[in-house]
Amino acid sequence: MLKLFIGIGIPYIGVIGLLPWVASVDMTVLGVPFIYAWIFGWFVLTSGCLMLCWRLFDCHFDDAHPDNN
Amino acid sequence: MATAVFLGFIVFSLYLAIRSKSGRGPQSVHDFFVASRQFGAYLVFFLAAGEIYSIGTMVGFPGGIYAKGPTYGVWFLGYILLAYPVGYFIGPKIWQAGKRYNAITLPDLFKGHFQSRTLELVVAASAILFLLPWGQLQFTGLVAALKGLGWNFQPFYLILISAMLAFTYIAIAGVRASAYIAVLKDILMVAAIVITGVAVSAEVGVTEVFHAASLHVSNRMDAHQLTFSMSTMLFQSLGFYVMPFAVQNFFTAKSANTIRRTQVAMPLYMLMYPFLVVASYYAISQNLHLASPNEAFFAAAIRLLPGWLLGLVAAGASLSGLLVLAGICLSIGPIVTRNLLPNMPENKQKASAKVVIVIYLIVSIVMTLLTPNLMLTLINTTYYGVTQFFPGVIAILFGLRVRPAAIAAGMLTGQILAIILYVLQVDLGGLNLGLGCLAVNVAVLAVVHLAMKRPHVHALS
Repeated sequence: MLKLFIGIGIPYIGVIGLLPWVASVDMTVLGVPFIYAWIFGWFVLTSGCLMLCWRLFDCHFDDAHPDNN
Repeated sequence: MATAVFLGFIVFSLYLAIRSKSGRGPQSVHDFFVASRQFGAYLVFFLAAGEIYSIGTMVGFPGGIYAKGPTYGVWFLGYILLAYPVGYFIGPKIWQAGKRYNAITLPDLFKGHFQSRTLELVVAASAILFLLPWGQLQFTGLVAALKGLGWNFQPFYLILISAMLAFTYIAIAGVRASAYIAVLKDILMVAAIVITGVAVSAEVGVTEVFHAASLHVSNRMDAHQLTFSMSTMLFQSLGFYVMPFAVQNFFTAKSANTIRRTQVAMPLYMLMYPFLVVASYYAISQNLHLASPNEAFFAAAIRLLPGWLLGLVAAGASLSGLLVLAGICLSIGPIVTRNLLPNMPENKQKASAKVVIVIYLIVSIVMTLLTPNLMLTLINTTYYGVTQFFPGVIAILFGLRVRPAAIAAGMLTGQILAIILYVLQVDLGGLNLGLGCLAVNVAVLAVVHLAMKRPHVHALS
């Protein structure tokens, strides 16, 4: 469950769940409107979440594991 | 000069296609379409990126944000991004199911799990139907890219050349050729976008570009736009990896962990988009009047880049269209010969699929020329229709014992309802039409499944 929360929950909350708030923020980050800066940031953060899933859970099992075969 | 560089890259892509086959004997049907499950993480990554970032990336997306601003950009970027977490979790399971049923196509999975010829036919026929507009879009984009080179041929010839190139790639070595060319295409596309984005930043400045754009398109969203963006991101991120060609990509991987590793890296490829957004707003900042919003990206490239770099940009754009076209061909070919036509032996499927691919390309060309707008209107229906496969795929991946008739009933209801709502232009308060249809799909599935279960329970008691 923790794996699902890190891998799916966090990115979906960040990108979809918080969109109403993000769209109401009127500022720029280094000249980029906040709404673009926010979604660009999630490119890296989503990859980070999946990297966590990989490092914490999946990379310990080899190809003979039932989830992999 | 631009043309010479462009042709150089096309020749190089043909060389790569031939190289991809070297040292191998005659290809079996499994090797031709899914590389005998031998690809490592790098090839799976490049092949996936190659077929995901279609010509729409350099034509449709810039046009969309040029005309509509972040309202368009956010859902487009969001659904692709959120598809990768979904792929991380279901991709390895799709791969396992593919291995279990020795599958080549998406309908093969349904055939293997549900043992139902009717369901296999429903999935196969609707997969082909909803892929048609996707291929059409590539032709339209290819014409735009080749025109960016200053070629003044009739669109007919440009489309014909594109179709012949896509077929040549496939005919040489099937999916192996696609994967090798994808490496070239993915590098060229990123280079083209980053170079153009940097050129615009240097010429105009990032702050100035966004400031000029914000005077034309709002950075805020109203309730209707928010509902649309949020529901579309959710809906399309679910449909992304049940696209028939995306499922086939997973089958090429050599292990489940190969797929997980590619999904970790996939979001990072999107770091090209900030450059693309800047490039797309160049036309607004310079007050250029474009014949069509689809020219937004090329308008910047044509004005700011030297000829040889423009050739590189055009090559990147064209290869992205050609690869997606090749991917669709590699998907439709075996769906027809393995799933639609009854009882074709495996050793005849490869040759027959090539015939099917030629027929598909010819039909597509004729449709592009006769009804150019029809298909572009229908492009939105691709996701509406394909995502209706999602409940069935989940049933397969988690081994749920659902009646095949229930899956088929839900799927067909969802797909037909989506087309009706789309044609009637129904507004559900901004809610993505496909998401509403997916809910109906699941409801019908549950009702039919329970209704069919009852007699069975009686028989037991």
